[in-house]
Formats: sequence, structure tokens, C-alpha cells
Amino acid sequence: MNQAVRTATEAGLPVDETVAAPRSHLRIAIRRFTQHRVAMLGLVILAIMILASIFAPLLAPYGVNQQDLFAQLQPPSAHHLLGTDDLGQDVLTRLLYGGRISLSIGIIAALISMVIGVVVGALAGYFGGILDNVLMRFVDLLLAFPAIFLLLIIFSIVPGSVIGVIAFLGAFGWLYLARIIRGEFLSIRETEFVAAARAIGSGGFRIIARHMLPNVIAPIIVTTTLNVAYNMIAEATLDFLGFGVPPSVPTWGNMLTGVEDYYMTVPLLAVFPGVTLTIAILAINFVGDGLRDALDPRSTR
Amino acid sequence: MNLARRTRWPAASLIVVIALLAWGGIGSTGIPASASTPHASTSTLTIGTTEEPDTLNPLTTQLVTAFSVIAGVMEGMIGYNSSDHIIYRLATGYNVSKNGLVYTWHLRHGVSFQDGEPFNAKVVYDNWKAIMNSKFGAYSQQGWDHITKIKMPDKYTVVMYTKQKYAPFAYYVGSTYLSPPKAFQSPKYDQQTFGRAPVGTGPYTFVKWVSGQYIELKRNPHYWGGLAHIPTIIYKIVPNDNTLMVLLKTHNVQMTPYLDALHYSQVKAMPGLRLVTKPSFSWYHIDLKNIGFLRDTKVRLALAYATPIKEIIARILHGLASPDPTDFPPASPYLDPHISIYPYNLAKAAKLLKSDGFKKGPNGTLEKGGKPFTIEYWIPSGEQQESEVQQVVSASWQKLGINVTDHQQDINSIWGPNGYQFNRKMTGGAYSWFNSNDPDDSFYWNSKDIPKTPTSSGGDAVEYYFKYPWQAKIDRLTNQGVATINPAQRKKIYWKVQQLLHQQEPVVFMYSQKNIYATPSNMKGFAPSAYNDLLWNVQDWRF
Amino acid sequence: MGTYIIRRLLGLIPLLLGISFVSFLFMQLMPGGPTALLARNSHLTQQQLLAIRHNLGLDQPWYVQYWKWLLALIHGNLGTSYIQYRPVVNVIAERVPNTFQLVVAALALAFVIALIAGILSAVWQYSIFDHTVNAVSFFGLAMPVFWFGLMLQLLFAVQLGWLPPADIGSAGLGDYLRHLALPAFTLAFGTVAGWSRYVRSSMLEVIHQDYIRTARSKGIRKAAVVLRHALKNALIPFVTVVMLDTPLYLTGAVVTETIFDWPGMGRLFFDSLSSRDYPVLMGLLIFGAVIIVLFQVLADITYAFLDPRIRYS
Repeated sequence: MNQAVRTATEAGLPVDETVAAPRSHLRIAIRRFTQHRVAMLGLVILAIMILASIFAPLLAPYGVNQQDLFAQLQPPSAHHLLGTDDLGQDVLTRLLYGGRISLSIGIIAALISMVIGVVVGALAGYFGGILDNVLMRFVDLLLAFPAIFLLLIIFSIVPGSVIGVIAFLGAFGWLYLARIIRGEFLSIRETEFVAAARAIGSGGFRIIARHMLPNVIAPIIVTTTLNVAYNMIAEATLDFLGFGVPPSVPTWGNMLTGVEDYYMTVPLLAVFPGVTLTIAILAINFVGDGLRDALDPRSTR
Repeated sequence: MNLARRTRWPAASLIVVIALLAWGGIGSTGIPASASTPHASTSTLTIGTTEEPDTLNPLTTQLVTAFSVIAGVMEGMIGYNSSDHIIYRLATGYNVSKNGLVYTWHLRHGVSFQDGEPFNAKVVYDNWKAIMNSKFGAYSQQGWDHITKIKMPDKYTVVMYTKQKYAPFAYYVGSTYLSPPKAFQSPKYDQQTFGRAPVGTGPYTFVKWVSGQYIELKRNPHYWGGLAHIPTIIYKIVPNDNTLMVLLKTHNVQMTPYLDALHYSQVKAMPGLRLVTKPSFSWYHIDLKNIGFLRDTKVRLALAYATPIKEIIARILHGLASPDPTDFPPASPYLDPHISIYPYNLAKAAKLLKSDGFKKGPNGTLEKGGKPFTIEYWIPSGEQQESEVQQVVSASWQKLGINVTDHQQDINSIWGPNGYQFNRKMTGGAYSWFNSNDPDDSFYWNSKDIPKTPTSSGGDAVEYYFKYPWQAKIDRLTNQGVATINPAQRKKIYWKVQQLLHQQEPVVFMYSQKNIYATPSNMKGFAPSAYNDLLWNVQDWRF
Repeated sequence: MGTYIIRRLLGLIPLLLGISFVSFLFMQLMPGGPTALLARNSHLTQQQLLAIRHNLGLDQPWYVQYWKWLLALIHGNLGTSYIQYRPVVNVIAERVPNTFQLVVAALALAFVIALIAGILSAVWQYSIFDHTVNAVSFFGLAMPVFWFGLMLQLLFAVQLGWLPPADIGSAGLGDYLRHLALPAFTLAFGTVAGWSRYVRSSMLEVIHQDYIRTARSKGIRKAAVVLRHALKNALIPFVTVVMLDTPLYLTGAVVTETIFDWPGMGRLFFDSLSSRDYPVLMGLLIFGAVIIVLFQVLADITYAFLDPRIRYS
């Protein structure tokens, strides 16, 4: 039984389980989230970053690929607030535009993983039996399959494109979520709700959508949020290994790896994208933590 | 911490298992002496490189990094010193018949391979047979394929009969590193065994090759040229550029050849190291596929005018390269010094394109006949310097209104059947080719080198091997070039080749990068050049 | 219990078949086989190239190649590396101890630190200690491994010169450990972050109410008993997580191995992938799958030992 129903029952209110679950639960969750100071901090930081990315063309003092070969590797100055890179391009500008790509890659790939993970997990958990077995064996296979393998294949067909990166990250990010959803579904499946709904004659899809999914919203949201962070780090690692987006298109990841040859001589070049990336990841993790605390009925505070 | 009794045993056993695994892991190889790099000292020279040789069999590799090592272990009949003069190694001399078709080599007496086998005329004969044996899979038969028969009047004389005059014959045949007969027992044996443990007549003997880590050489006490000074040489493989710099700084690596220009100032600041800069034979260029608009000479010239070569050399390469308007870099004795690189002139480039019928389309991209001008610019990934060049050139071409997209791909994919060479788009591929002491650039331009069947990597793009409108002329010139023995006359012919290439600009010629070597400041005898491999005179190196 | 183990191990076979088959298929999809670089060679004729491909057995249809490989595998022969021309077994066996030592060192370090930090964080919830650990963990999760490793290397090896920057040490145990320090710590850092949080939340799930109440009403000794009980419960899933995570590091430590020039399996995997050395790749995949399953079984066994409620029939 979820928290909302219990509360409602204790308060002596009539319970309509198709309604009690979402609404008041959401309000409780929001209140708990806003009370979580660290999570709110993360949210604010994230919001600033997203807004800055969206308004990059307005905020950026220079063009993204505006090279100035006479102003290479400059330290921060009045002309270039964060200095310039190896081609004289303004670091601040590239950070702003880089955020667009990094955040987009992170979010879109996470959404893709979410959809796949939910579908697979729900099917496996609801129907059980052979379908469950087959799907979970498939998940096991993919987990035992080093992701790096698919890397080269995908990147030799769609070399160094944003699409390729998103495809790769989306294709591997859904495994844990599927497992979690499947687990939850397996246990919820046997509860009175579902039995009651079946007794009324509700179809499978309706049952999944209206009765079971709401109960797994929490892990879905939390996992997907944390997945965004993971994707952004993964994109940076891909750049380090030589895959990923070409350097003319900036991402925080490839700004960090693209200056690897200058780490010893101009360390500041790596600090800016590195710190930005780390702060973004931190912020996402804070928000994820806050969401977990807010949405999980079992956590005590 | 007191654990409840039930958990005590399993937890303890878990810890023990982990400890055992760790101990077993360490114990199974001892402290892995074989897997680690021996300590550096003045009795050892550690050379660092980012690229591991694929094999040390001189007949089946084409990598510079492999030849760097091979040059210390094996020898050819002749070599070249750093002034491009012939030095005699396994041969003491050779003469050519009046008609230029018969070469007689006089071999050095009393030389034996490091495994004890004697070196004599039969060895040369066996090498020829192996190279020409197609089952063997030797990469290059150049020069040797001109030989019709070999006679051995005595143990130390080899007479080669060739079918036609070929000027670079002595260079190619003489410079081939000669393998002992046991290397040719069977193709399989050679690749598997010999390539992993080469045997030669040279100043250093191969000791071991720990895959992915290092190759160890020690000096050959029976070398005919005398004992080398440095007892041990370690050729260390460090895949990551940055890590190599770190190791240089901490003196775990003492020498590094072929540094990138962008590391120059960094290494210069490191104490204990000296930088040596020499011209090279490389010519960096942007290959243009013969398709679409790239077939027009005017378009190619426009691209050349739109490529800021001098600026790239000054700013990206820190002056450590020379502009190179043709495939003959400044180091080549056949260079035509009257040709200079096209200056950077966007206005002129734009005018050329306009006169060729290009107009700016609705979204700012140039188009001709309704077709937009889009170029894919490809380079192998992992090269910081080339990546910077790519971005500069790309940005410049875009100023003309050309839609340029940058692409980087790992080296095996880019040259594979799905590589850019075999798609139907207009592409520019940037990389280095190499000239040599004795040039034969037919491969690049002569139509006889156009494959008749689908190429090795499986692709089959006609556009990549399209004949130029001036093909007949270049064929004639390159054929003449290798058939003319007289150096002065040859020079004239190659000057004509260069002039033709400069007029037609089949590729965007860019620069010839200098070879940059970092070496310990207290080491003497190090004299590298474009004319030889790294370890060519390793026996003269000393601290 | 015994039959369970046997059943799990038998389950390896279809898994290995599945992985190898799918891998082989994928490798056919990968453009640019091992002879891709030969295409650039100016002087190689078509005939010579065909000879090389024939020598490597690449001219046969893929299912024939797969079948041959499978047959060889059953006889314990993993084939010969295309690039190194040596038996695959040797190529892999050389690297296994190196990775093993690195991973064991890193994860053992991470295990101990995570356990201690996690327990103490749970017991002293919301204290300064807790928040500090939390913050540091976040950094561990947020920082890309390669950046952290590179910065460690720059700081301790280059700037301070306390530790060697890369490579395996050969001059005795002390030297070896000094070389192991930086890469192990790099690998451990990211792991500790996740693990300590896991321990903390596991502990919290069990102890919170009871522990507080007991400590307040019945004094420290009884509270300590509760603590012990909670620990046991928290340890079980944690150990399982450790066991399940470990095999991932065997081929997954590519980045650390690259930065510190550590000759391990992760780098071998990546290099073989780049150079399309199919036999080595297949060997590594098989090896990896076996290790993963072995560790899963180990995790299950440990779980059964530690949790008296679980009995396998």
C-alpha cells in the first residue's frame, strides 16, 4: 500500500485507489523536495546552466568558431573573461555553447534510456514467465557485453556525430532501470489493487498504465535524472578515448579532453570545462538525491 | 568490531579469499620483472614512442616506428648518412654496367648474423626469392621486381640482371634490411616467429618484446663495425601523448623522436634534454577526391588560395615546418626551388570560384547549377596538431561560402571499406605521404598504379582513382624520371613534374613538417636525418 | 547448494555461446578488418594482399570462421592474434595478473574505506562527518575518472615528485607498491563514492529508529548490539554489490590503464578493438563473461552464507 492511501485510510477518508495515489502524493513530494536545501541548490544551479545554454547566442561575446591565431592560449583578461584556447577561440563562448550540446546529449540519451527501460521492464514484470526470462537474459547478455565494443561499431558507421553519441548512450543506459521496474512490477502484480482491477475487467495496458506505473514513478525519475549525469561523464570519456564529437563542435567533455596536450603547460584551459562539468554533475546528483528522498515513501526524515 | 558469530566465518573467509587472490596475483608472476621496464641508468638508453611496431620483420611492416628499431638490429647492403651520402654496410661497393641493366655488388667478408649464421651472396639471393614469392606477402617488392636473374660467381659477389633501367634501383634494393635464411622457412614461420624476434647483422641484438610495453635490445659483441657504446636500449611504448611528456619530464624516458610541434616549447623547458630539429621527407597535404566540383582545376586552386599555410606553420606548428608546394619537400635533392606555395588570398579564391560559375545560394552556401558545394574534411582521430590544422583550414574555407564538415575517425576505420575514400561525396583527406632519398613518385600520380580490381580494403571507388586530364603528361614524366640514370637530367625531369603538379594542384599541398627529436643533453653521436632510420648509427651514440 | 552452483555454472554455456556468436556477428559489421592499414601501402599488389588475408583465414565466410573458432575453443585453443602473431592465451595471460593486482588493490582499498565511512556516516547521521563524506562522495561521482587521474598524476608525480608517474614497478615490492599507488587510488576514488553511500543508506534503512530508541532508553551496550545486528544486515547486500561490480573493472579500467601506462586487460581490449584483432577480442569477451558469471555465483554463495534466511534447494 502506498503512503497516500495509508494516510487517507488513517484519516478515515474514503479511498479511491486510482485517484489517491497521484495527486496528494505529488504535493507531498514537492514539499519535501523544496525543503531539501542541497537539492534546491542543485536545481538552481542546473536552471542557471540550462538558461545560459539556451541564451548562449545572446550571452556569448564571440562566435563559437571565431579563431584568432594571434591570441592563442591567453590567460583570462578583459577581452576574454576565461581566456582563449589553442586556436584563440574564446573559452567562455565555447563553454556556453558547449553546455547546449553536453546537456542535450545527457538529457536526450537519458530520456531514450528511460523509454526503453520502462517498456522492457514493464513487459517483463507484468507478463512474467517466458517473456520475463527472455528479456532478463537479454539484459544479462548486454551487461556482460562490454559497452566499448559497440562503441567502435557505431562510431565507424556514424563517426563522431552527436547522434552517434546519443544513440550509443541511450542504447546502454536502460539496463538497470529495466531491472528495477521489472522487480517492482513483479511484486506489485500480486497486490490487491491489480487483482481488483482485473476483477473489474480492466485490460492489461490500462492496469499497467493506471495502477502500476504510478508506483514506479519514483525510481524512474531518480534513475533517469542520475542517468543524465552519467551520460555527460560518459560523453567526456568517449572524447578521451578518441570517439565523440569533433573538436569544432564544443562540448564540455571534448573541451576537457581536447586540451590534454596542454595540461602541463596551460592547466587553466582544462580547469574551466572541468569545473563546469563537475558542478553540473554535482547539481544533477543533488537534484537526484532530493528527488529520491522526496518521492520515496519509505525514507524517514 | 565484533561481528555476530554467524557472520564471522563467512566474512573472514571472504577477506582471506580476497587476500589470497591478491597474493596469488602478485605471486604468480613474482614481482612481475618481465612485465615491467628495467631501470634507467647510463648503461641504458630509454627511447619513448606512442606507436608500437606491428612487427619487426622488415619485409612485412611499413611503420616508421618499426623501422626505427629494425635499423639497430638489421642492415642492408648500403645505407645513407645524414648528408645523404652512401655508406657501405653489408656491401663494400657496387658497380653498374654501361647499359645500366646489370648491378654487381661486392659483399663484406667475415660478417655473420647474430645467431651465428654467415652472411654471404646466398643470403641476398634468398631474400630476393622471398620478396618475390607472392605467398610470402612481402609489402614492397620495389626494385627487386626489376631483377630477372641473380648470379653468384663467388661467395661474396652478387650480380643482378634487371629488365629495364630504373634509377632508384640501387637505393631500394641496397637499403632493404636483409634477413637470415631461417626467416624464410615458411610464410607462417616468418611472420609468427621472426617478426617477434628479428635477427640481423647489426650493432644490437634483439632481447625481448613485451607486448604493449617495450622492446629491449643489447649490443652485439660480434658486430663487424665494432662494439657499440651503450650496452642496452629500451624502446618504450607509451600510448598516451601526455603520459609520454610526463615520463620525459621525470626522466623515465630519455629520448623521443618525431615530437609534435606543439610539444616543442614544453620539452625545451625540461632540464637535461636537448632538441634536435631536422627537415623531413614528409609532405602533408589534403587529398581531394576526383568527384563533383573537385575535378575542376580552378576549384582546387581556389582551395589552395584559401588555405592559410604560412599562418598555420607560424601559429600551429610554431615555425617547425616548411611550406611544401609539391610532393618534393625541401629535404629532397630533386627539389625545384623556383616553385613557391600559393599565398593566402581569399579574394583571389573567391574570384576563381566566381569565374567557374559559383554563386552564393539562399542560405549563404556556394552553389553551382543548383548543387551546393559541400566538402567533408577527414583526418585520423587522436592527433591534436592535425586537429588544430583541420579547424583552421575548415574555418577559412567556410569563409568562401563552402559548407565544410569536419570529421575524425580512428585509423582502422578511416582506411577501411567504409572509409571516406569510398563514399560518393566530395571529400578532403589530410595526411602525410613520404618522399625518399631516391624518388619514385609514380605511385601517387602515374596511371599504371590505378588498381584494376577492387582495392584491398574492399572498396571500389572509381572517383578515387580518376584519371586527370593531364594524365598522359604526368605518366610520361614519371616514367622518364625513374628511367633516367644521370642525376642532372633526372633533376630536370622532376622539376617538370613539380611544375605540372603546382599548376594543376591535384591535392592541396601544404607543408613538410620537421622531424623533432628530444635527446639527453649529455649524449653524443646522435645524428638523425630524413635520409635514414632512427637507429642508423646507434653504435656511435654514447654518454 | 551444490546443485545450485552447478546449475549456474552450466548456465555459462548458453551465455558464452550467445556472447561469442553476437560478438562474431558484430565484428563482421565492423568496417576495416585487420588488413585495413595494408590498403594504404603503395607497393602492395592485390595478389599479395589476398595472400595475407588467406594466411589469416579471413577469406572464408564468417560462419565458417566462427565454427572453426568454436571448435578450437572446445579444445582449449583460443587461436592466434592477428596483430601479434602469438597465441591469444599468451597475450591475455600476460595481462591478467597486472589488471588483477590493480583492481584488487583498488577495490580492497575502496571496500575498507567505504565500509568505515558508510557505517560512521550512518551512525553519526547529519553530523559534520556525514556531510563531509557526502560531499567528497559527490565529487567522486561527479568527476570524470580521466581528469581525476591526470590531476593526481600531475600533482604527485610531476609537481611533487613523491610517486612515479606511470608504469609497473620492477625493483622489488616497495617500488612495485609505489607504482601501484596512483592508479589504484584513481580507480578507488570513484568506487568509494558510490559504495560508501550505498553502505550508509543500507545501514540507515535498518538501524535508524531502533538504534536511536534503544540508545536513548537502554544505554550504549544494548545499542551496540542493535548496531551489530544492523551491520550484519547492511553488509550482506553491500558484499553482493562489491562482487557484482568487481568484474566490470577487469575490462573497464581502460582510462586508468592508459593514463598510467599500466599494461592491463582494459587497454588490451581497447587496443585489440582499434586494431581489429578479432581472436584476442573474442578471447577477452569469453574470459570476461566467465569472470562475470563466476563472481555472480560467488555473490550468491556469499549472500547465502551471510543471510540465514536464504536456502537454495
